This record gives sequence, structure tokens and C-alpha cells, in this order.
Amino acid sequence: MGIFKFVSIIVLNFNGEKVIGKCLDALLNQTYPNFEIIIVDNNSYDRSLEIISDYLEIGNISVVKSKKNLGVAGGRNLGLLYAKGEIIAFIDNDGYAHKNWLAEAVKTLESDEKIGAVASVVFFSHKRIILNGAGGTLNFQGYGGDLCFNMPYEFAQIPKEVLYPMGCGMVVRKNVMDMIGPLDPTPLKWYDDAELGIRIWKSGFKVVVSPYAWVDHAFGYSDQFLKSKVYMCERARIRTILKYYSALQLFLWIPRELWYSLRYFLKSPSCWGIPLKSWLWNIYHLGSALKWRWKFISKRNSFWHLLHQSWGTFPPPTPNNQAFIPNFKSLGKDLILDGHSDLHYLNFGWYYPERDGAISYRWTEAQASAFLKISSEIHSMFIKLRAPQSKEQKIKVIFRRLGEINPESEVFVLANSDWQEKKYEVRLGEGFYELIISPETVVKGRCRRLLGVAVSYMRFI
Amino acid sequence: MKALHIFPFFGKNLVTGSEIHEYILTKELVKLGIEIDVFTTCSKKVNPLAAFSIKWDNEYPEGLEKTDGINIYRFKNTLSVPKIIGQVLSKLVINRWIKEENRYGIMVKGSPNLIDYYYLRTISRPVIYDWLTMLGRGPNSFSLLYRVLKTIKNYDVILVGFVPFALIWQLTFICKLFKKPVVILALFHPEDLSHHFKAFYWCFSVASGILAQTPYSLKLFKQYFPGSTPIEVGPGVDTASFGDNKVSGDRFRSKYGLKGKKLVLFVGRKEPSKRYDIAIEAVDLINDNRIKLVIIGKDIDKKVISSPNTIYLGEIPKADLMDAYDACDVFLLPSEYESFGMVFLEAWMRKKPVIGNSFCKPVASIIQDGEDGYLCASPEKIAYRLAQLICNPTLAKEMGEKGYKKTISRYTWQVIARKVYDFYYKITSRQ
Repeated sequence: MGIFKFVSIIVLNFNGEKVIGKCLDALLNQTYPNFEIIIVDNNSYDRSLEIISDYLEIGNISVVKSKKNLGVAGGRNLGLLYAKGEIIAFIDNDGYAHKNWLAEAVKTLESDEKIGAVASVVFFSHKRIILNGAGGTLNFQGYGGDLCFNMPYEFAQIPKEVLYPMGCGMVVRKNVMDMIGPLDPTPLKWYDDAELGIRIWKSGFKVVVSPYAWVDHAFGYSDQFLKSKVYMCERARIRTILKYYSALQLFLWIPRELWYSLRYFLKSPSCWGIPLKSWLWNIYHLGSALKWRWKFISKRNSFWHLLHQSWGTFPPPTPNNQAFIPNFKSLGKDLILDGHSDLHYLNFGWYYPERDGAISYRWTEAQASAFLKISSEIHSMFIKLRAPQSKEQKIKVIFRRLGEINPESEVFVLANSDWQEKKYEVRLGEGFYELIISPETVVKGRCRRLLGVAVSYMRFI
Repeated sequence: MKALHIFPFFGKNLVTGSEIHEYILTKELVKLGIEIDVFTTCSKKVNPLAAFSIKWDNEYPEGLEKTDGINIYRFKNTLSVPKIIGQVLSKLVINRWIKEENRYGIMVKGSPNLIDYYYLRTISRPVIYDWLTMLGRGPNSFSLLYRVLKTIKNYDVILVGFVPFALIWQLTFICKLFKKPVVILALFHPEDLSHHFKAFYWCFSVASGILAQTPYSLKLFKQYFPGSTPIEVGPGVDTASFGDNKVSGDRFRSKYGLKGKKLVLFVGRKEPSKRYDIAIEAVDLINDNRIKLVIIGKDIDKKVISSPNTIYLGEIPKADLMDAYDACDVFLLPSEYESFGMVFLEAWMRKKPVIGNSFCKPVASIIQDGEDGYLCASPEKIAYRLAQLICNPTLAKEMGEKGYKKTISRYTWQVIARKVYDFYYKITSRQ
């Protein structure tokens, strides 16, 4: 195994009876030959330990059970106590690694000694063309977001350097991990990965994305056991900022934070307790936060250039691509975007349905995809659409036969801010097609959405 | 060369693996020409009062006894901790263990990192818990220690056994004080947390040598105690008795009414750590009334066995035991904790295939999985392997033959004694 450094994969498990088997199957199927698996069970009360026990005889798997739920950071710290590898990989019980995941991640990590950690490209497990994220970042306000979240892989621009690797699928050098110390277990969940990234950057190392280290993530599986997600997220955000933002950054941050807290209160008076509770919790734990701050105060490498240059909440809303489940049995040739009959057609890139008088429609993002079934040859396309701004906009409409990459047909459509029905010549034979709408530009619209074009229907004759 | 062997128990008629081991090893070394005195207590067995407290009865008379050319000096146990104090100190140690579990979690048995986990817990534990444990476990024989202090200069090497008793700790300390070479017959169960104490770790680190039972134990000693000098010797088997042509499986079947049955044999104390429950469950899973599990060994836990497929015989005469090995179709011991598992050698001497627990690493390092036996842990897998061996007598015979060859070449007492003899000379010459 000489050339393959020993890797310890730490799998965090809490009530993972529905997912842990699949997670371990995927890990045992890795092409990378030299690794151990350490499963940290955060005091599950389901059958997951029973399932894990069946794997003990199969591979190099150790299982350590915590007597209480230590949270994400605490659980990972527990796993680190027993890790023997020169490289540490972290994955959640609902993360299913592709067989080359570890090999690719280690290859990227070893490509430059300044790389301290590698982020994986994480897909939604139930819709494996849509990204859960490829690394993540914070904005000035401290809100964290996964980069490329909800984007189709085909059109996503995978970043190279990121502020932090997503917890599911992150790979870190052991010596870097030793240098930056254990994770802060106090907030229990959220921002543990962001904190790890910040510490790595502050210590003079980089966090990069390994573009072919792929993990499928059963997004939201572990969150179902959380009672107060927003509150826990908020308190972890404030704590992270108190620990790692410089004095100047804090000076800029505090008035805005107070302003946003006030706005939060005015907008949703019923939830006023969340910011208040988050602050009280942070004041109570200020001592430990200051200790961490003191520990990293001398490490002056900046991570500021990696933050998203925005204040307020982050990230902006995206179409809920995971919710679109195309049903090929119910497809027809005409796409009417009314929020009901279109549900079986849509693939990704469509915002929620809206109405403009009698016209029902959906906005697209930078790319939108839907499926069609053409039963007999067609010659023309009728499309009703409008652009988000008065300037005329060019929109590319691509038709791809299902399973093909090259387009069967391409049409350029023009749109302005008024609703218009237009006819274009399109020649398509019988079969299933993927329709991709790709506007030339996108405009930041209401609620900070990125809007491409509004489409009411597409009919084919 | 003159050697002093010191053990908590010692006697020709003691039957557990560790006592047989120390007795035959001593006898064989005497045959090789080493003059050996044995210092031991007047006890025949341990009598546990609480988790970390043992009552040491004086069952043998005090004084000198000569057997097989060995001078055995027996000393009375001076201090056995009273029951109530034993319970209190056990409670203190157990509370400490609970604290450690809160901090370090609980590593599931069968995990490859289990020993790292025990090691981490042990080195984090304040030394007071070692003192409490050593006091409670004993044996504490002041007359034995006084005699050692008085006579130690007369010996070239001291062999002391075995974990988890306090004698190792007491004697290693004295030997280091008098700069005498001390060898430890550890019989260390790495998978058993109750064998992990800093006091023992210290002994392993400073001893002149450690007799390791298996390649796995050898590796462990080298890994965790870098200054130590372990050698792999293993236990041996009484080839003359177990290989005797007079041993008869038919006689055993007739005597115990087992004619026409397929027999799975389990030999070991009937206590939870030997996991006889797994053996019963595995045979029940096969659910064939022609297949019987025969359990032989002292009843420690006194639990009633209700399975119709299991026959518990308790302790039986040695001649019957040898016949039982010959009668069985498969030998099974799913024990979690073993320093070696001498019974596997005894089964191999009768050319029988064996099944051991894959989670018990010392056992896993002597059975070659799929060659001379099988290694598995769950009742389902054991049941599968049992059925495989019972249905395929050719395979069972082949495995038994391979086990026999391995035993004859590596695990006879003559081979083992020669290794220890050479080791004694090596360390005394180095001294």
C-alpha cells in the first residue's frame, strides 16, 4: 500500500437505520485500497447499530457508540480520537460515496501540499443530476450557503477554492487537523464545516474542490430529528462570527446584525424569540467562544476574499429542483405551465407557478429543463413568454432526444417585457425529448431571485 | 541456571488452561535441566466477591511440595479484602469506567480499533484505580513477598504470571529493585477491558521479557510497549495424551447416549465471556435434532440451558474429555476473550475442524480461516459454517488434518519449552 496513504473515514450516525447500510456499502466499494472506517454512533435509538454490527465482520470497520448525542462536531471529535490515518475523511450516514470518491479526493489533496482540505461535489441522492453543493461560503452577515446548491450539474460552474468543504464528504490532512485542533462541540450542529474551513484558511492552507470526488446525499435525512433548526443555525452563526471575524469586521457586523434582528422581529413577531434566544445562548457561552478566538488570533491569514460579498440573508432562493419528479408515463407534447398539469414534465430550473391576470406561468432561472413526448412528427412551436425587462432578450431553446447529449434542434426566441405568443419552425420526430430553455441573460428580481424568462405555455403542431 | 517461577495458583491437578500452561511449561523446563523453584499461594481457584475483589482461600497446606522434580513452595494469603470493602472499591473502579465511557464512548466488540480505545482509556485513568484494583484482586501474600526478597539473589531469572492478578505488579517491582531479570507470562486477553491497567502496562514496559501467546499478542506488545522484549511462544498440547490411539470417540458416544448424532463440541467454563449462548443459538438455527451441541466445562454462571439441541455435561474426567474431542464432528468455541485458546490445539490433535470467534484477535491469529478452521462471530454465520462442515466430511477431515500438522510442528510442549529455555539464556547472558 506504500503509495496509498492510509485514510480514516469517519462516519457520523444518528438513527440512520434507513441509510447507514447503503452508506457503508458505498464506502466498502471504494477503489482506493488503503482505508479504515470509524463509525461514531451518536446514541441512536433505532436499529442502526444492529445493521452496523453486521458489517463488522466484512471490512476494517470500528464502531464507537457515544452515551449521549454529542452533536456533529462532538461526534467527529470522538471519531478523531481513534483515527490512525494520515488523511481523515468525513462523511455522514446519509452520504453515498461514488466508488472513485476517495481516490479522487486524495489525488486532489496530494496535488499540492498547501491544500489542507478537499471538498467533494455533493449531489442530491434522489435526483443525481442536481447538486447539493460543491464547498460552501459565508456572506458578510455570517450566513452560510453551499455553493452550486440546487444547480444542475451540467450547467454548474464548480468553484476551485472555497471557504469550507461541506461536512458530508470532506477530506482533511491529519497534520492540519492536529494543528487546527478539535472542532468546537458547543453548538451541536451547523457551522462545524464552516469553522473548519475558516481555521484551515487562517492557518495558511487552502480548501479546494475535487471536481470528480462525488457523493450522493440523502439531503434532510438527519435534519428530521432536529426540533429547532432555525434557532440552532442562528446561534451557531453568531458564535462563528464572534470567534473568527476581525475586530474591524465585527465593528461593521454588529450594527447590521442588530438591524436585521429588528427587521426579523418586525416581519415575524411570532418568531421574535429566535434572535433573542440565540444571543442569550451566545452570551452564556461567550467565555468558550473567546477562548477559541484567542487560540486563532495569532493566525492572520485572511479568508475574507472567499466570503460572498453580501449582507443580509444568504444564499438567495433557487428553484426547488429536487421537488420536480418527471413522470414519463404522463408526458404529452404540450407544456402548459399552470402549476398542475406541468408537474410531470418539469426537470429543473423553474420557479413556483404565478398568475398575471388570466395567464398562468413560471419564471425560469439561467437554465430550465422539461421533458416532452412527441407522438407524431411536428413542424411548429407556439410559445407564450415574456422577459423580465423591457429590453429585447434572446433565448435559446434546445431539444435533445432523451439519452443524447447533442441537440436534435435549436431555436432562438426573442422576448420583451410584454406577453407575446410566437410561432417558430421546429422539426422533431417521434420520441421523448428534453427541452432546455437558456436565456442569454438573467436579472435579479423580486425576493432576489435570478430570473431568465417567464413562460406560459409551449404547444407543438 | 536457577529460575524462580511465581504464580497465583500452581498444582498438577488444576485444570484450567492457564494453570495447565504454567505447570507443563515448568515441568518441561526442568526436564531441559533448569533448576526451578515455584512460589505460589495455597489457593486452588479464585473466588470472586465483586468485580474487582477476590477472596483467596488457603486450600493447600503451606510449605514445600515436590512434584515432577519441581520444588513448589506454598505461602498463605495474608490479606483478602473483606467483602464490603471489595464491593466499595469495585464500585469506585466501575464508576471510573462509566466516566471513561462518557468521555471516550463505547467501542463495539469486534472493532479493529478496540485495543486503541482500551489503551486510551487506561492511560487517562489516575493511578489510584490501579492500586485499588491490585489490592482487591490480590493475591496479597506477605510471606511470599518476604521470601522473594530474602532469596531473590539466588536466582538467575524470575518468571511471573499472569494478568489480571497483582503478583505480576508486585514481583516486577521487586525484580526491578534488585535488578533481576524478570519474564512475564502475561496470558493477556487484549479484548478484555479488565486486563487493561496501567500497572500491567508498566510491567510489560520494564520487564526483561514477555512470553506472548500468539503472533497477534506479540504485535500488540511491540506496538504499545516499544521498550518491551516479547517473544512468541504460545502454549503447547500434551501430544502423548491427546494423540493416544486408545482415545475413543465411540466410547464417549456410548457412555453419554449420543450414538448416531452429529456432535458439535464446546469445551470451556460455562460463563458469559465464553459465549456459549452463541454456540447454542447457532445450533438451534440449524434446527436438526440429529445435530447436538455438547458443552463440557465448569458451571460458573449457573444458568439453566433449555435448548433441546444442547447437552451440558459439566466437568468430566480427563479421559472422557479426550474421547469427546475424538467423538465430535466440529469443535466450536465462540469465546470473546482468550489469550490463546489451548482447546483448539486439543481439537486439532484429534484432527477436528474448529470454529473460533473472528472478533477475538488472538484466536483469529492462530486459526487460518478456511484452511484449518473457520472464523466467524454471529450465530447465523457460525450456523452456516457448522452445516457446511457437518455436510461435507471430506472438507472437515482436510481442515482437521491441516490443524493437526500445524499443532505438531509448532505447539508441542517440547518446542515451547525449548523456546523459553533459549530465551532465559539470552536474557541472563545479556544481564
